[in-house]
Amino acid sequence: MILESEEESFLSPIYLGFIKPRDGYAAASDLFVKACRAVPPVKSYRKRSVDRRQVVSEPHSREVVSYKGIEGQSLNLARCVDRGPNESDAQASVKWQWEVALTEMKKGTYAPFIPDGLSVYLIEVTRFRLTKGAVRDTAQLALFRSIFIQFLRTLDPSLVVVGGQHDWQNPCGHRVNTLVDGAFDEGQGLLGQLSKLR
Amino acid sequence: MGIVGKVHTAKRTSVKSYPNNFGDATERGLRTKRLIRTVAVMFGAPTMTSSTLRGHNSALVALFRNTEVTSDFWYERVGPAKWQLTLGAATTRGVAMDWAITVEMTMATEGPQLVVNTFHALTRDGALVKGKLHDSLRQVIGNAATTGQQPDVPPALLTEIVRSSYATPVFEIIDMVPTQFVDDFVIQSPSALGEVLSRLTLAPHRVIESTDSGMVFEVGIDGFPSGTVAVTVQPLGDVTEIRGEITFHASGSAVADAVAYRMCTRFENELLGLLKLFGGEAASVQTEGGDQ
Repeated sequence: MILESEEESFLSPIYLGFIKPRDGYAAASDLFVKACRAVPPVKSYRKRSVDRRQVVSEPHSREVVSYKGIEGQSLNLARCVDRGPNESDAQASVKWQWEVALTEMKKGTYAPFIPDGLSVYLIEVTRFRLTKGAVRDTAQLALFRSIFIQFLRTLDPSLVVVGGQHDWQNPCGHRVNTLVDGAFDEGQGLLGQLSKLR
Repeated sequence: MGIVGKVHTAKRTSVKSYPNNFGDATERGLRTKRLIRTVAVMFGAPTMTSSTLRGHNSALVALFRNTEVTSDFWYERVGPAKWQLTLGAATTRGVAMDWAITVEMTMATEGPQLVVNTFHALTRDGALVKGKLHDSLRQVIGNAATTGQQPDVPPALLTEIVRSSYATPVFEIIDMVPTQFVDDFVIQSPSALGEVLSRLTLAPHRVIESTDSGMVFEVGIDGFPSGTVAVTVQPLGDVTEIRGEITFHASGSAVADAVAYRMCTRFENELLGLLKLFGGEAASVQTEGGDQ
């Protein structure tokens, strides 16, 4: 029972088992990048020192950017970063809010949860930041993970998903609107599952 | 106080190894990761303040600026089996750390270990700043590794973290859906019609209609259909022509619409990528509607 501890929280890793659509087509990696681009950017502000006494607040774009993975650790990284005017991906990468890594695992490692023969991928939150008791930009994180899984599911409807919060469908009426409307209904079903943040 | 405090601080921040009793090799990795996440959430949750003042700041800075700000807590995986937990303040010069701890899974002759090290510590008069929290965090990690049991986290605390995390300040989405949505597109490919149709199936969007001459895709978040892309494919001389017609239906959710908008604007490039993926060539065709 190696996966018993991986409950449905928005920080827990998600294990995915699926059939690659065609040899040579790097489905998971490609779709991970596409999912990054699908998350809409939002406005944010960051302080910058003008001189020793003066600090100004500058508008930034808070967006999810894909980066090359770390050799031997991950295929791709998705980082929620603050991008200043005319900043490159590399320059923005240091101003992160969270990071998710995509890793290909050895087949059969997570059987019987993920049947033998399926390609196994892991998406895990490798960086996050808390302020005033809240994990920053959780809505974007949840949105990103659910879009990635949605993309995979269109290619393989029998996709096996284990662990982590991933189903946007159930609470989406409120969750999706949270970003703009500030709506939050504590009675939503997934809240109970999310509360198992362990 | 200074010398006694320094000696005490050196002791409490020194490297310590604990036996890692979280089961066999695979379980150990999963359970240790879970422990570090849990500890980060537990100790990052309380609202605290940290000083942005550091040695390089002149005393005048403290007079002119409010140097006490809300603390942040950072969780980072910094190696295959190594994590860093940092408490401090975000400043315009970077992170002003109160302390930073690394936790690493290692293998020693006596068995698997969890090595905890405080590699950065801010002191005042030799005493560690936020020392109690620091000691408590290290203690929780050590106890959990030694006993092989995850720490108990009050359910009320977890519920509050989830509530707070989703109730983050309202943000303004930058690329709101414009009234004039996105242009339709035309692509020409030398690949045969059947091959083009088979590659279309690799587009990561839900197919709502499929015929011998094309497909209709639903684009956007599941359950919030905001856009459709109708793709028709037909032979045209030596090439196969692919026409995409994009229609947008506002779903009532600004975020879902913004997601669909981004997916629609990238649909043509996605398709070009798929057509070129297996050695075929393909190109956008300029239409009357503008440069595609």
